[in-house]
Amino acid sequence: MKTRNISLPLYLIWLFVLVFIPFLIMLFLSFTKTRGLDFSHLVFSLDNFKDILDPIYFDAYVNSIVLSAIASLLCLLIGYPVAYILTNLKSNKLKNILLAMFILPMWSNMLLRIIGWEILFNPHSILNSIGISFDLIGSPLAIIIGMVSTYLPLMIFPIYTSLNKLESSLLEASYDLGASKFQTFKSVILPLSLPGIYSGLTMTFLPSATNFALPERLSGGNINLLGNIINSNFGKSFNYGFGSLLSVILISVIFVLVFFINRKDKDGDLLL
Amino acid sequence: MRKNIKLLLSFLLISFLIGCSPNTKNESLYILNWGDYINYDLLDKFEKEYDVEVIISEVESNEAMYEQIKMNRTSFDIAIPSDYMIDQLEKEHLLKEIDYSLLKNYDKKMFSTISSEHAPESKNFIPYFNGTIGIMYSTKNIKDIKKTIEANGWSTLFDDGLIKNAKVGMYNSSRDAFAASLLHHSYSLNTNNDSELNQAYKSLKNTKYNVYGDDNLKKNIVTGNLDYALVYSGDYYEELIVATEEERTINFGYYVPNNTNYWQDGMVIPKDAKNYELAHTFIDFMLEDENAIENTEYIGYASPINSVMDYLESDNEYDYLTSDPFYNPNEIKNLKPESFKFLGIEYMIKLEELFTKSKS
Amino acid sequence: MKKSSKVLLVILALAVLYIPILIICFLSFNDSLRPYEFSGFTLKWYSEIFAEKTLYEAIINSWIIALFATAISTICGTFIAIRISKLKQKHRQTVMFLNNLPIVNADIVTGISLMIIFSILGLHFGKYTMLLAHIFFCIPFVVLSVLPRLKMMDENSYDAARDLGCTHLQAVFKVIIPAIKVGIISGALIAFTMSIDDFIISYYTTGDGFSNFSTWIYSRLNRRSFSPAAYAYNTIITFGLLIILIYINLNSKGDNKHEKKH
Repeated sequence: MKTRNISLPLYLIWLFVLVFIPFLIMLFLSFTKTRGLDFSHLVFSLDNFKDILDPIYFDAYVNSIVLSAIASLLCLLIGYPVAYILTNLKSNKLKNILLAMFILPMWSNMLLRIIGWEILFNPHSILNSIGISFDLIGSPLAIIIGMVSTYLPLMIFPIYTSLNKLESSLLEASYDLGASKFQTFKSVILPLSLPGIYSGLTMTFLPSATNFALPERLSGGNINLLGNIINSNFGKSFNYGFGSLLSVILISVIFVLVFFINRKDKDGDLLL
Repeated sequence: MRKNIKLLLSFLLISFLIGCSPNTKNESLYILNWGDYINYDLLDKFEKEYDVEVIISEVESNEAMYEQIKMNRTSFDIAIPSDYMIDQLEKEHLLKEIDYSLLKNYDKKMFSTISSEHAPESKNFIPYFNGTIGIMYSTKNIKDIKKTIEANGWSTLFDDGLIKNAKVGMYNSSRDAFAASLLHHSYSLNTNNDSELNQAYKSLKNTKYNVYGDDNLKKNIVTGNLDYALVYSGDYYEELIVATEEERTINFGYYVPNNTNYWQDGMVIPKDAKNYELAHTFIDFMLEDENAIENTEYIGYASPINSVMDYLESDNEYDYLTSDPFYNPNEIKNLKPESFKFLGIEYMIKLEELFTKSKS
Repeated sequence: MKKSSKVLLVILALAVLYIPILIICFLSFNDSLRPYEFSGFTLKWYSEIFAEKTLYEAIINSWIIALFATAISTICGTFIAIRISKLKQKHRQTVMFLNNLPIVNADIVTGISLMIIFSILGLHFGKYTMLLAHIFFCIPFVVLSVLPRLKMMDENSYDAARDLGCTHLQAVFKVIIPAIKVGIISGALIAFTMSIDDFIISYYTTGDGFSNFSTWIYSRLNRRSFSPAAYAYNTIITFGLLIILIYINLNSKGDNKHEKKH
């Protein structure tokens, strides 16, 4: 009986220590000027809150939101039909092979995939031998392509799962009642797959907006996203206070998002 | 099911054994270094000679090195920061004193004049390499690029349109980028004057750089994907060494304007070092002539050790290096070097902020 | 949708995913060290995987961390999920809210949070902190993938087993776990996939010069110490697995009952 009783409380303590306490520490650091975790030289200050409104960081926020939004919408535009096609494939063999092919890229190292694009996007590249030359490094397009390529599977699978849950009897009922294919899609399939879409959007938008290696490689350091700013505040300028404030804001946004998804999703199993 | 559990358990056991295989070596030496900044063969040699394990971590900037030492997630025995960072570490009491009696290969007079004249204030470092910053360029895409750069010096990095449609790269390091800009305006590298810094900032902001990078700058120039960029001397000479060894055509060059940043990196022992004596053994090992030469041949930076440079000069194989006008900072004609001083951590943050601002 | 446009769309999606992977594959056969020129076909990078000591170690490290993180998080996650499934709806939703946080949280924030708490706890950074971090972000995925299977299970089967004289553990192992096997396996697969490819969280929680494949690549990019053997390893993993998966699929009997649920 013991195992049964302690596993959950232990897990809650574990989450408390590894999620909640760091959050409180960062919240605390947000109100200080500090160099690293040097608690002996803490100075309380609200400077971080002034800094956050500094226009120099605005570009990073705007870039994060706009580029990631475009990328996740593109993922949705490609991912939804693909998931739909996959669900309706008659041949199980083909379906499984295609599913495997969509999972597999996640097994290829993310950094190497980004480097693959980086190599292609430079004017002098191996493509020159077949007469093609891109010059995209530093352009928003390069970053968007990189994001779509990196996170597309995270859009396809939640939608595929939610479409798969649809009972075929429901669709038949809809057709029996005289609905056209489009009507059925609009009023039955789409609403019922909305949870998958929400989860797909979250799973593509958030990592896109906060990755730092991707914009670093594909923009030649010219386009900064939120992740780059946080990374450089912790790693380079050692400004833990400001880095913490940005992280705290980010977590808060995510809290709200998870809360929202959680409300929509009574089963609590939406994210996969 | 039972079979599966057995399988799982045995697989766990095996992987656990691999994961925790006891260390056969006696001691471990932890080194904090820049990327590609030591001849890795020397590490193998050191491991064999002293029956120790060398564990090396690599970072890409002085600031990252400072962060690692200060946070002490790993207790490093040796670190190799640059001059101004050595002073910063010293002032924050993050360095251990060096016991010179443990270094039998050390002699104060073994280092070049320029290295001693521009040494940091701290006494607790041993010079490792020294160099300058300059402009590395590719001769692939633009004719007369060499002439233009030699005629305009630092200005080539800032005046857009001086070379039409050129692709320019800048070091993604606030101190170095500002150094180039301050030199372009003929200000001191160590100025804390707001209006001077502001002018430097404006020049950086008004220029469009295709790439802010570190090691990728030299690669991009060799490829022709960048036309020129600010680099450390060793970035160029490393590429030169590799290209010469592989007998490739060399379509890139390097120019150092007279007023430049002279820097030197030194080996230091961080205060949390656990292997104080082994650290000295390592420093001594690196000072040994044969090893210092091997290291210099690999890395591309010039050694501040006189005997090493003498050896390179006596060997015909290295003529292409030693006859290069900018290779050895000690012998660059008309050089007006200035080294970085430690100007306080507030300065470091201010510069980092200005630099971030200049990028957008 | 017309059939041709369907095919086109799937091809487009696959192209977006596979172009960079094919580039890496191509470079793994390139004799030149420089990624912008092709100087001849070679297999030397494939043998170099074992010769390049630091790379080989990093690869082994990645596997060890991923195997351990998967094993531990699968076991813990399964038990936790069993517990959660027995909670009342309202409590379950709250617990799942907490469980989902690390999944949705930005990697960089997770990485920095863990770095801060590990520093404060005075842990020695290295393989164990990295393992701990990986276990941390793997468990929620296992819970998430096991839970729906538990719900599909007949609620009475556990009680029936207990009534027939099984102990709690026996009932769990003989009744519950077989019933949720698919969920456990897919949870383990997701955990493994997340762990072996992780970069950002590993980057913040490692120390001691301990690197996995991703951090090895990041610290050596554009440097002489970077070896195209990394391309070779990545190619083996990606295409090796693809071939295995397709082979299994073609040889299995037509109608698989459980599709891969990810």
